[in-house]
Amino acid sequence: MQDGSTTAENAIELRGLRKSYGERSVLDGIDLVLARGSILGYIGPNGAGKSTTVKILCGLMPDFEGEVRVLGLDPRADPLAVKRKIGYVPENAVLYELLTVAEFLLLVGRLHGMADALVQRRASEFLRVFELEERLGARIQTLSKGMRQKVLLTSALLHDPELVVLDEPLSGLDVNATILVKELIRALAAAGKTVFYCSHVMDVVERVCDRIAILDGGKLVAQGSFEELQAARGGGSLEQIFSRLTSVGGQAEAAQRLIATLRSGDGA
Amino acid sequence: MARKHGIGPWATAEEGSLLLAAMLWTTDRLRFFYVALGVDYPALRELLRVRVLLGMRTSVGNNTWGMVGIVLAVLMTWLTGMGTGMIAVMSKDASVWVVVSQSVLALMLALLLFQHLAGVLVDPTDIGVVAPHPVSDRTVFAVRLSEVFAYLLIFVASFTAGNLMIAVFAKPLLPVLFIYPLLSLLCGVTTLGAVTLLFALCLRIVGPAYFQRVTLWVQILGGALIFGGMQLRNFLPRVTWAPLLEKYAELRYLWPPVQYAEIFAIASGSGTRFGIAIGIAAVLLPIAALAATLWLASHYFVAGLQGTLGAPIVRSGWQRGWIARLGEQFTRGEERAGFGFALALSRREPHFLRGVLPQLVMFQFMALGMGFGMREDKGMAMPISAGFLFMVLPNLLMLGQATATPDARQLFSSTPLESEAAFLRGGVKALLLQWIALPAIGVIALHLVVGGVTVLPGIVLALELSGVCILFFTRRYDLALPFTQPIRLGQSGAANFGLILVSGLVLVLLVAVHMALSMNPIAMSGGILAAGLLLIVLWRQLDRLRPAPSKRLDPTRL
Repeated sequence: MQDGSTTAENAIELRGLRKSYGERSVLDGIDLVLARGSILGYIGPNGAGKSTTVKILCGLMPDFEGEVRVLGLDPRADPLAVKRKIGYVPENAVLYELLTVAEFLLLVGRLHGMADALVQRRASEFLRVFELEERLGARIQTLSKGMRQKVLLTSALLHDPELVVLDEPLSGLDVNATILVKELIRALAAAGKTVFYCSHVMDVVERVCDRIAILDGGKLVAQGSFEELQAARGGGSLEQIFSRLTSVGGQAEAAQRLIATLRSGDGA
Repeated sequence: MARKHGIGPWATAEEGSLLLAAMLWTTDRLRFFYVALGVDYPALRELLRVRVLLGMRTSVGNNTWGMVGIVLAVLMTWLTGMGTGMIAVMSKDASVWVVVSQSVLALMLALLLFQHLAGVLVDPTDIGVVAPHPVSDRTVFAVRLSEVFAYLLIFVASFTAGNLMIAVFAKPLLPVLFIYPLLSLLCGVTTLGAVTLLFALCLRIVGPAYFQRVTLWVQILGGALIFGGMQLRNFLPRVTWAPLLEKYAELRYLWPPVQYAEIFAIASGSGTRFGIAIGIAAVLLPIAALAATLWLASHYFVAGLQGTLGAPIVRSGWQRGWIARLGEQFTRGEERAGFGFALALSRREPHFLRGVLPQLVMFQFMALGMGFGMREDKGMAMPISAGFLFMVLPNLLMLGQATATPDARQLFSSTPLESEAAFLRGGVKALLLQWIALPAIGVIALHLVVGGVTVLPGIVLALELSGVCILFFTRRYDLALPFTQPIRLGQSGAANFGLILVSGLVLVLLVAVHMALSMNPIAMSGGILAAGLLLIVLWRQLDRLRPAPSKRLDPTRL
């Protein structure tokens, strides 16, 4: 993940990536290289710039500064080529509520130019594994949050992407489904796929990812394998390392302050 | 991409419906053009199919009165067509009929595009689903274009039918039956090309970040020009126009309906070589416009749709604007919560802004144009201007119930909301203050600037009368809690639809009452006093406002 040459051997290459919304800088010179077949945990506090990075990688945000290569492609110049090769599970997913699960998956498959029969075969198998097959004909509006997440995961993997971008993929999933998805992430990497994994669930990132990048205030403050991070940052769990790098500390005192605020009464 | 009818869960229930089948059949016939214009046809067909499917599931199919509204609009278009068709009988020269009727059609379609269909073109609601997938900007734009064109075709067809029913008796049969419909179609494509070209130019000029905001202003200005543009001639020196028009008579050929008249003349056997050249230009013009539009929209259209529309937030922290502070003076508890909620969302919900703001500006532009254009009696502008604020009410209240995020109403089940009525009252008061009272102040200022201080009593009376109508009617609408319902086409409902129809008659009545009271200073003073008192009474009666039983929040459905 350190300085790599600009080749298609790398799944992701970011050099000097900057993005601002007006005066507010969201990404401030990100340099990151990710080899193919690896799993990167991309973590950071709220508002650190994770989702913005993801949108840029997925070709959804064309106005940024710096150099970005995804599977050797420039998402600004050729977003369609990038989208054909990636599978993306967004954090705040938008789904066609009034379509059935089957209709939605057929739509996604067709947009990727897949034959209906192939979509049906793959989707049926995914949904069977996710224990959702009997809801194939149900409208998405009737599904629970976890079920929707399973549909999203299915739709992101249907076309067998080379790079899978997961933004909080475990959101809403039950324990069994969570275990399944963690195994799936490992299996994807074993099959040569690259996984870009954004999450706030530190123990999953710690256990699943080969590499970890910690983002704070639009800057990468640490990157490496978990063991490398431990060695460089004084040991402990990923949660502790993360907290040391990105927090001003004093969470316990802060919590007490909140309770005190509630007890202070209404002065108005 | 053609789909076999499957069985079981992989099949779509509406696959065999006439509407969907007709849409896809027509699209398939146009495949060559789409491909020639660089559109990813299989993706276009699929996205179009899904949008039609979603439309069928959300709107008309679930709302009989929505369907009635659409049928009535089509009927009115048909009647307008019959009206212009009468020119074919009254004028010996067929070109007069063709030019006038096609001009009316072009203006009507442009208005429809600016006021209603532009929202479809730049609708951001489903772009989050499509954006992550490999669909080009051009294809997404072409999908929207096709959808809008399908709506336009309905109106083109009904207008043309109205014209044909009259013109067949007065003009050569074959050109009327076979050429005139083609000219109407050409008119539809040209109007669509011109309006969408404006939008695509905006995308290129301002970039994706400001696309939504700028197109809203294009919508407003475009509609205002159509509504009020005709009145501008009243402000221009009349004597200089005739010789100018005579000197540059050839310029009239730049107006497409004049070109259509040449084509009709050729079809009737009286064309010239010049007419043939003009006819070819008329056909090529919309094709060129659409091709240019698609080319311009080929970059960043999807990113543009994802841009924000609401006004930029200039305040920070807990600082509030003066309307919010005013609202706090006369609302308490849940009513105050409703006031703040509706006030904030009414300034940011894209469907609301695109529906209400252009109508508000267009109506005022038309009223002021009409009123001040009447050199003999400038006083006419006042009741029309004030009355048009009343005409915005249905759109204001109907669109003010809907939101792009209806699921967020779960908030009301997780908080101890005791009185939906109080929350609704607060919301309605916010809508009335922000979108009726505030523009009313602008109207007063404008009339004072143009007419001087002497018009003050007249405009005050007009606004009071309009306010009385607004408050009286507000209580009679079937309303849901503000910004809690899904956005649906024609969601007015049975009771509301009748009120909307009556509103037009009330406007006429309002103008008549204002004219009558304006005749005598004592009558006017009495009118101002009485209307003022009535306003206070009706404002207080807003406290009786309740959500319609069918639209109350049902915790089991949240």
